[in-house]
Amino acid sequence: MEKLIYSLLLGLLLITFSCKKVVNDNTPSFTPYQIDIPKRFPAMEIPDDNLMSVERLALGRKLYYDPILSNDGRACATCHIQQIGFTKNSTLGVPVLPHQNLGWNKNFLWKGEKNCTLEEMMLFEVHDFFVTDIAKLNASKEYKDLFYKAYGITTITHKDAAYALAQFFRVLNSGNSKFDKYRRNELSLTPNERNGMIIFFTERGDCFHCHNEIFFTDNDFHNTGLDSTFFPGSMGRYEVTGNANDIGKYKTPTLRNCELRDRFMHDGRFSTLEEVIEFYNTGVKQTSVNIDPLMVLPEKALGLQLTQQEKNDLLLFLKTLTDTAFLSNKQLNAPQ
Amino acid sequence: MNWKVLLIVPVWLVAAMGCKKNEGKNDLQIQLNYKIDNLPLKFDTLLYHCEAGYNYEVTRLHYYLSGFVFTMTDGTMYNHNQVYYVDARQVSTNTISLPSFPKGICNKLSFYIGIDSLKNKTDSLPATFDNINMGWPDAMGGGYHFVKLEGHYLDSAVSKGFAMHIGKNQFLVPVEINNPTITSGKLSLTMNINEWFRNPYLYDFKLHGSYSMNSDSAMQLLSANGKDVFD
Ligand code: HEC
Ligand code: HEC
Repeated sequence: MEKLIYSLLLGLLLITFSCKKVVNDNTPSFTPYQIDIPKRFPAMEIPDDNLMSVERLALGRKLYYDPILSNDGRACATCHIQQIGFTKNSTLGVPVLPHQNLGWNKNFLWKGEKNCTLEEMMLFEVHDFFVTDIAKLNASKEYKDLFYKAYGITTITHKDAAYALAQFFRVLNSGNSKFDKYRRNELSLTPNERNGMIIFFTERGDCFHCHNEIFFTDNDFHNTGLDSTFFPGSMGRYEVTGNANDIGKYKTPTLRNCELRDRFMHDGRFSTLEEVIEFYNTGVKQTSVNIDPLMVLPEKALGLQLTQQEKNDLLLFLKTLTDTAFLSNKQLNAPQ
Repeated sequence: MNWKVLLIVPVWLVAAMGCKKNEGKNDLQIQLNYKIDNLPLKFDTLLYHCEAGYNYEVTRLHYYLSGFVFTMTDGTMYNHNQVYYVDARQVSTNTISLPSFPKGICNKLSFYIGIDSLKNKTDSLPATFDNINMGWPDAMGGGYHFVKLEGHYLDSAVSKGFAMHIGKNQFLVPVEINNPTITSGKLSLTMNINEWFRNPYLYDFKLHGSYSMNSDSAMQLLSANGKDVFD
């Protein structure tokens, strides 16, 4: 009986809402959106003033692909390309960090210039990096309508654009690679991939302490011993904090979808994963200041001493982190 | 009429809560501090000297505390089974609040550095960034790191790394403190980092390993030494 009353009430409510829609298509509307969080990932914190909705998410996605945000024809997606994990290859300058699983991220950019919420990071991107001419958005009838519908606002600010973008970032989640499926017992790895996984997750390669099992980054900063001398402009996190203990430290990048990249490390010095593995195997500059203790264990004084077979296997394991469903997800590409 | 009822409810609520307090239960705040013998811990600073003779610095200290049991002088016990993650660098994680702590005098406190075997299983703690970073890979037995103590030491003027990582059920570190000083709902516990390296076993990085997590014999020593790192 009670159930019946509830169903009736719910029905009435739904009717009321759907009626509203019919009356005027351009009233604010909030259709709650449930983020599909990959299994084993943490719950995502979503701020009360930017709850997920279908309308807001669609708006954020549109903005991500729209050059209207910049003053030179670029969109976010110009440098953050879905097919390779929302990053860009073969560019000059600072390698583009990928947009994956950033809804759980607190430290942004290679040197950690920003330690903040996703909303604040987006505000930085729009206001400081793109220097978005907000008048352009306000002059667009289409955007005025979309922002009104999604957020109930009549004047668009940088903050509003940032909030919409943050919605899109919260769904750029990669957690469905071959490795994830293996961990969910949905398939098995080949013997070589498995061997590479064991190297990665044991003292043999000791990669997991910084590239953890879920995010493949610890969201922290380390000097891995790429260099032993430092010059102004390439001193890492020190340039942000002014703390001498941060010289040479950079944010650990995620290894998810790293197979598709061709510029590795904060300055893009390596162009293949083979080179990266060889660096960890034989190239670590152990006398570098602030080098992470894990990189200068006496046990590793002669490098990892991986055999060619072990290096191949480690590479094969890294390739199991490619998430083709994410890279080709039609919900994440440029909207029509 | 209605507004009177509205007034009564909050008044009653406040009164009810007040009563609870009068029963003699309150939060207990545990404050965690760090020292190296008589020096306070300062990260990234080569200031300290361990029993085996090396000068060293600490770059990272992450660990779990769990299984708190307080025995009161009247024989009653207060159990608190939550797992607490502590990052010594991060102020907020160094205050632990135990709810509904009884009034009275406590003459014994015991707890674990680490996580008991029921919870020390891959994915058994909520997936938070910290817990994920503390994961002990399945390829090495699964569960979580109980402790990560990392830094550098000087070996004949050459700087080397150490990573004292403890995990695995058999190396859980039980701690017992007699007659802990609890004053006005506060208890202060101080970890002396040098105690990890002595008593009962002298721990020598060069002899016993600078990297412990793949060495049961190293973790055995550290776990035994860990029993009295707190006072
Ligand atoms: C011209 C290329 C380019 C464009 C266009 C671009 N980015 Fe980036 N993005 C980069 C580079 C390069 C980095 C890494 C910079 C650094 O760390 O110093 C980066 C880093 C980021 C990061 C930090 C990721 C992390 O893991 O810390 C975020 C967030 C981001 N971009 C968002 C955006 C947004 C939002 C837009 C559009 C408003 C945008 N980007 C447009 C090149 C670009
Ligand atoms: C002490 C922490 C640490 C350990 C251990 C570690 N990494 Fe890294 N890794 C990092 C950091 C930090 C960077 C970025 C360094 C930079 O650019 O200065 C990085 C970069 C990388 C990159 C390049 C990713 C990109 O997009 O640029 C790959 C690939 C990689 N690591 C793989 C591994 C493998 C494989 C292992 C084990 C053999 C390993 N890492 C061990 C911290 C670590």
